[in-house]
Amino acid sequence: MKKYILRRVIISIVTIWLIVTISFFLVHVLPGNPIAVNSGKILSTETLDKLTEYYGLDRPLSEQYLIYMKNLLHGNLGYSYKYAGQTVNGIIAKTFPVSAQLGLQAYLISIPLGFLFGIIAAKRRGKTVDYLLVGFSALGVSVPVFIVAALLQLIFAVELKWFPVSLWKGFSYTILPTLTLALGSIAGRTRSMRTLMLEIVNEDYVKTAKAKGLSKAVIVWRHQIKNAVIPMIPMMGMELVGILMGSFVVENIFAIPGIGSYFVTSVQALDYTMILGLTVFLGVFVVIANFIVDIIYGVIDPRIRVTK
Amino acid sequence: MKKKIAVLFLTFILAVSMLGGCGTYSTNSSNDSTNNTSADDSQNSNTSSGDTQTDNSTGDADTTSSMDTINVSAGTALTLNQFVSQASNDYDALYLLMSSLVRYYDGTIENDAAKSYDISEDGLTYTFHLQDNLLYSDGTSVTAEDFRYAILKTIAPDSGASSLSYYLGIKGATAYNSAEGTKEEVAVTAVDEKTLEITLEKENKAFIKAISIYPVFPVREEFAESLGEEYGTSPETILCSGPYTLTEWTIDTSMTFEKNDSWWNAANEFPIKTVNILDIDSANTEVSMFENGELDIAASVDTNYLATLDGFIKSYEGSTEMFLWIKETGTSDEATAVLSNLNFRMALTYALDRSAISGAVSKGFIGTNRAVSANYPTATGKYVEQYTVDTAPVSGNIELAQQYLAAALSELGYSDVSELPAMTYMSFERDDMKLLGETITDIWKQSLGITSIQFVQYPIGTAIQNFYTGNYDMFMISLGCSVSADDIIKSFTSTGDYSFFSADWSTDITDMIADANNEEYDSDVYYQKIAAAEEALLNEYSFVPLYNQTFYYAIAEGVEGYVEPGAAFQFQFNHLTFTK
Repeated sequence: MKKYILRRVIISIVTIWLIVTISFFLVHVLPGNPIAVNSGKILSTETLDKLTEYYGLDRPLSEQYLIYMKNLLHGNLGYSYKYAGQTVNGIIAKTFPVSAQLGLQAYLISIPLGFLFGIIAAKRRGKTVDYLLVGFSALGVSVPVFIVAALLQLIFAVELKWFPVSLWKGFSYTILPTLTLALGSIAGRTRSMRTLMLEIVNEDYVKTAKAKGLSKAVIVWRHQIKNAVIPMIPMMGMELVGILMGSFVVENIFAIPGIGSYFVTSVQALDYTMILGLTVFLGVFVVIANFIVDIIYGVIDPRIRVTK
Repeated sequence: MKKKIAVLFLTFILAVSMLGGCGTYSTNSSNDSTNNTSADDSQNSNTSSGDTQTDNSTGDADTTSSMDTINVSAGTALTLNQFVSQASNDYDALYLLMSSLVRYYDGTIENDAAKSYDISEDGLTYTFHLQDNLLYSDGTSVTAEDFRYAILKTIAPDSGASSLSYYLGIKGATAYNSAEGTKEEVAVTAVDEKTLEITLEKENKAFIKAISIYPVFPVREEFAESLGEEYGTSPETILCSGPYTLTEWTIDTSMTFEKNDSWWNAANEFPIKTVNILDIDSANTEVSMFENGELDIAASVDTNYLATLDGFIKSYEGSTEMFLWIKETGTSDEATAVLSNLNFRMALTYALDRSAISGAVSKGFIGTNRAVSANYPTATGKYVEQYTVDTAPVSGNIELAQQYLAAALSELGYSDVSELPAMTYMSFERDDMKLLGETITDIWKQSLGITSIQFVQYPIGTAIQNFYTGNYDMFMISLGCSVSADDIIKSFTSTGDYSFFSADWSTDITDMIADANNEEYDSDVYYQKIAAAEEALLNEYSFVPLYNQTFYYAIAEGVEGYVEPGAAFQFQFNHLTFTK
């Protein structure tokens, strides 16, 4: 196991290095000058040259890469080109907790609800409740997030005045974005859980359990649900990473100061350091999440444990 | 099992209800206003040589009490470091946070940090006398040295400050900026703690207006230098000297300004105690918030929502102008020959009914054929109304366009329009520009039969890169006109900031602008000469004005004294009051 972990750690480091290196050169291949883009206006050639020099963009790319890697090894992701004087570390430190809170709330709602709805739909297959849940699932997956968000704002904020329309100032402000973010997740999980539950019904071990005379509840809980959840674990790990990293659309609509919007705006603004910082941050998260999922997966499912 | 599931389900529903049913949400409106400020408009008329401009706005204030909080949707600052700032949102925030020597307000210039200023007989030396009680937010005094430091840092050789060009007229500034002179040679002197002297290279009657719209704010050297890159990146890393202090700033999301009672004129101006600037990207969210009472001013309303907020909507003409730049040196020899043909450029211009095109593309666009923004004010009215030019009509003339095209083809040796070389008409990747660009190329195709001009859109970065490298034939972009009537025209001179907007005729325009600026600023002769230069520029038909943009905003009932930004700052809340 120790060997396995060590090998995974080394692979993870190499993976992150590759991600950073490829991203670094790809970002610099993008046409355009980040300084000119971020000013929002046409700068005089003199000003442009001075700012380009100020940010070190006039140096050879290889030199820029070495400087970046050196700083990265010290945990320094550099200064944002768009937000003058702001460090990428600082921006991530301020925005990630917001997205993480929103994502976790949505995740904590979507997991039990998704499983519950999936189980109910499978158990009541062909009944009204099944059709309702399948319909909800189809809608939840297919209706765009911005429509859901606008509807929730209209109903619960403008009409009922239960919650504020947007911003991020306290718990009541988090409800609508959380529901918006959770809806698609609930719908997707409902569909997956229902499908897996129905597949398992015909497995031999379920038939054996029935033949042994076990109660329905025991069969469902011990054999169906447990085995249906296993294939979803890797997906849930990646989903958690995705949801913690924020959502551009939800954060944009609800004016939430999360990290999600930076994944889009930094590319639009050619904010090289921000793009790379976010890539590194996300890359590290994905690698760690995969690592943890692999370990958990082995613990839950003995068939997948690492052999010596 | 059914019971368990039912219990689980009900438990969840209960939990959600507890979260959600926490009563009706209400906005945090603060105390009602009781008294409104009686604005003491100590607005200055233009100074003449030898005059002393004194401040008379203190002492007789009709003060107000318990003002409301106001929530405004607008862009938030990217940085509050004036030495690297390039965005207008930054200056909007600094307008609230800092004192400048003079303060622009609603088209007039008021005294601020300078309680008075003198202009020498020769018009070159400005002596600013600072307020006695001018303080930073930490309680220390603002001194003339702080202004000197800020000006010198603005014009330093490595400076990329957006206000740089407005200070290069100071004696020794250009040399220092280009590293050919020293800091000590720049004629900015802190005579004593409360007296600042600035000497210009040559007389510039628009200097005071320029420094009111593009101010340099006082900065204490040791404070800024100790922070280095971090200066102006958070409420803690800026020393405020203006009407408000910054208490909260979440980048791209919100800024909270609290009234600075120690500001020298706090008793008379900026009566609102708390200003919340909320950066709402989603137009639908902005409108919903306004309807819900969560916003009191929506500084820019999407034209799709004008009907929704009917009754609250107001509009103003912006100071920026969209135009088409026809580059006479094209991307190929053939294109260069065609584009440098005056008749060809005239054909393209005359084919356009700019009023109809702009009106059809968006209700916020007003067609123009001028090189000065429609809202540019003179002392007695609007420049474009008072000073007319003889050029292609804004409504175009198809017949004339066809005649010009025929003449061009003949001069160029083409027998048919289909023989014209391929040309690229570039713009930013924006929906409004797409519609406008495609409409224009379609008109050229329909009325002139020109099919070889290809409209292309690129992301801003790519478009600007192409612009800098000259990899285009025509470019659609906007420029602003706020300080002087010749702001846009100057961009096409041989000495302007933008060398990419120049052609053979630029030298003539340069001379005409220089000649105009030898006249008394804001005088009839000055404007007549500007109009002559404008006409000369327009009649080269490389610069084709398209439209002035109208901006729509919504203000809630009870908001009084909102000043439309027009040429300058968005948050001119000097006399803004709000009663609910």
